[in-house]
Amino acid sequence: MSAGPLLTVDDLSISYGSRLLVNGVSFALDGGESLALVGESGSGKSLTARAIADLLPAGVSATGRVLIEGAPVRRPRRRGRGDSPRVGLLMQDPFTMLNPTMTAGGHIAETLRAAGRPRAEIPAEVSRRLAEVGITDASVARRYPFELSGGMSQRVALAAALANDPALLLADEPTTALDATTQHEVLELLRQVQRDRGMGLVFITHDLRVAFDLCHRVVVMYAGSIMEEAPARIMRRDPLHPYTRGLLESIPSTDHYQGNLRGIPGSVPATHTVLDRCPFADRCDERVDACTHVVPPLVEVAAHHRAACIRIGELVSTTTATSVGSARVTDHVGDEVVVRVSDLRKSYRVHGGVHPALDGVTFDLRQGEALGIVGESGSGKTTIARCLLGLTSPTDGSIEFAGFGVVPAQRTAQDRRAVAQIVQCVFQDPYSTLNPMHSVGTALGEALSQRSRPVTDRDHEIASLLDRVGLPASMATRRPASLSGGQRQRVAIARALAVEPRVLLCDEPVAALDVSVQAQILELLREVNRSQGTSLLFITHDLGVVRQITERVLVLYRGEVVEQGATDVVLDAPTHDYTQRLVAAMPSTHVAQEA
Amino acid sequence: MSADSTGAQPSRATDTSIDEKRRTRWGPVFWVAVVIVALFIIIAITADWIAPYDPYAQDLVASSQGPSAAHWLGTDQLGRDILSRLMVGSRTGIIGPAVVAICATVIGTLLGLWAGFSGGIADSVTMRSVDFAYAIPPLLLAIVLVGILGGGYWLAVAVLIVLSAPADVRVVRAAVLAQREMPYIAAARTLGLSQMRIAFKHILPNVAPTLAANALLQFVVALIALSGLAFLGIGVSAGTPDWGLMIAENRSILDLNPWAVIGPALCITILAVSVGLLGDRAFDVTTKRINER
Repeated sequence: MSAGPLLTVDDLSISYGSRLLVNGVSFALDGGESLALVGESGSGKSLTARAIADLLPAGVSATGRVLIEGAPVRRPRRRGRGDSPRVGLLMQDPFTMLNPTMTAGGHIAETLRAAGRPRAEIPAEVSRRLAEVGITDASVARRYPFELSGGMSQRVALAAALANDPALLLADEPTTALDATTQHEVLELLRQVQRDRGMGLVFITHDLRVAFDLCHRVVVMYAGSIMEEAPARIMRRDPLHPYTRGLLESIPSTDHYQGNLRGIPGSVPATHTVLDRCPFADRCDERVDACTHVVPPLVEVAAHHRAACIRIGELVSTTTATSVGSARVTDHVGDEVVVRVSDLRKSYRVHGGVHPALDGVTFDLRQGEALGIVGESGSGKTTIARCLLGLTSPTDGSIEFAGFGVVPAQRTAQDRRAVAQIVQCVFQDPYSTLNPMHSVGTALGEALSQRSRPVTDRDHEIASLLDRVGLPASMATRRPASLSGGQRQRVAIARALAVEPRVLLCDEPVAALDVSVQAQILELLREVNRSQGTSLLFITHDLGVVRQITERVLVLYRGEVVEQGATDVVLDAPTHDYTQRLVAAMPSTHVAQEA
Repeated sequence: MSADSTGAQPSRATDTSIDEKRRTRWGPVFWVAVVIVALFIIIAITADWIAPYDPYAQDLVASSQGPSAAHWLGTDQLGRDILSRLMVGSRTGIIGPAVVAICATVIGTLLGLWAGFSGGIADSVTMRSVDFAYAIPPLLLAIVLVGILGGGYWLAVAVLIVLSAPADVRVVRAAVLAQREMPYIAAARTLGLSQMRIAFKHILPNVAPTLAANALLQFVVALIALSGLAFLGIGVSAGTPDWGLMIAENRSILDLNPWAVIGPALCITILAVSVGLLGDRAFDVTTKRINER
């Protein structure tokens, strides 16, 4: 703290027109320190980062002060040549961040030239910079972004962001789009670079576990305001704000089975609707009357530990105890095999060659069982789903459903209808899973019409379906665009259940949802699985979700099942090399346990 | 703290900002266009009763006169009342283009759905035919065909339908191909819904705004094409009150009664611009509204 903090954000408010999006945020960062901004969608974390880089979108304006090394930030295009910018920026999607018409080396060279490096030095400097981010293969510098993998692109993007030797690096969810093992590598790299360069790092993420692992300090934001700020060590051990606690409890544990998944009910409000109250009040278990008409100040509750909650004094004593190692319930699993997949193969023709997406996959799914399929992108897990649903036809192998028999490779209209009554699907993206032109009631009514049991009272059945997934009957008249992500995913589940299928195929159903909403949906799926004996085929990349939902798991790697068995056994003692790497890459969740 | 922001009343969750709201409102220009188009339609329907003169009645004594109290827009070479002819002329000005727009949209939509869904040879044949149709200069073909077949107005309309439909085939087929990959179409297929139902209930409503906008644009193109053909003496028979034909017939008296030419030209322009505006706004607002409700 000799020369003052590296970054000072003082009473930063951001608004779009008359709507406030970020409400008076203040924090500071010293050189060589790393700070995580954690929050769900709508928390204002990314806007705050953009304001720091002075890169707010058009029409969005900020008030307050942002100082870097004591000087206000200026837009890059207003800077003169040679006036070295002090902020580097790393963004979520490595493929859109790199210019597709420039080589990897070109990105770095461009910045080096702008920083006034002599031309002759640049090629050597580019390879030195690439080596810093772990790229030793000299040919990478000459490749274009589309020739690089996701992890490699993100490394190149990092090297480009570091090319002007920034004092401060802003990283906005740089690993969210990457596979678990790659994510782990990039985070390690980021940690190492930050330490070696003694650079300040502001890391934006929705994942508290990643924040704890990577950063010195953590700021938790909610609906445009800071809820809690503390050193990572302290917050990991002793989170104070009810929101932070709820967020931590919402993360499905990879280490042990939880009998009850605790999400936070409701969803994030818009900042401008909660200006006169605690933004979290509506979803808070600890709420008292005062919470809904007093703005809680962000006060220092301990050294370096700030929290915005008027009941913080009373809550300090009650430490959270997450449910530890509940016993699994398995009595809903029957003996009948409802899906039998034998030696399933699917290959695509790519660039003249044949690329096998599935290479002989065999498994059974029993009645009432929840079977997980894990694997990274490109492992073939979604191809299995598409083959089962008849959205694509397998090259070889067979799929057999109980009560139907072996499905022919080319399905007829009758086959489709019959299979539809056995297997239904919940898709990943809640924003495109519902037809934007159809109301919720229309969508559910259409699904009901496909059921084998006749529909007697359509409206009543739609209402009870909505009730089944925890939505009010009045939702039937709404269009998808007016629903939140979690609500849409509930409607999608109701649509699948309308047909009364024996198997519910879930293709990453919570991957696109906020953490606090994920747990609600997972709990709903678990309940469907248990109370109705519907078998679940659960496709995911998240080992925490696998642990919580499934009894048995298949690990898929490059189109082959490399390991399978009881979920607890596979995750606790993985035998295959890939499974071991996958388990090791998961950010640890034993958070509140040690307390 | 947030002193500057607390002054603003926390309004009820209005998710559209002022900017976006402006785009989701129809706006005054749209309503002006609606009124103009409605006026043309009313005139076309009631022309027989409201036209001050019989549009065919010749009065050689009062030929090529400028505007007067008796003839507001003057008369042509044969002494026919320009205003009356403009009013009756709005029939060929509206009906032909409307028939072109509607028929082209229906044919194009059906062909586009068929091509997009069946794929393979059906798709290839349809799309190559579409490419072929694009390569033909429409006016030239209309001139040649109508010239050879010696047909009138309706043959010209038929030719324009055939040449306008390919645009719709393209739009609909592209939409089918794009939407086929959407999770909600995958969900519909997973439900075991028939191809027909998916095509008409799931995909078509999502392209309806584009189709509507396209149909209005086709109306404009057809209006100008038919007027152009009439000007060249192809299509409507000589003497018919038609805007395009009137411009051609009255060119020679431009110095005596300029309104005999300016009148029909203005009618074509105003109707074309108004319908074009309708299409533009209708597309903007409907797509915006779908995504916000």
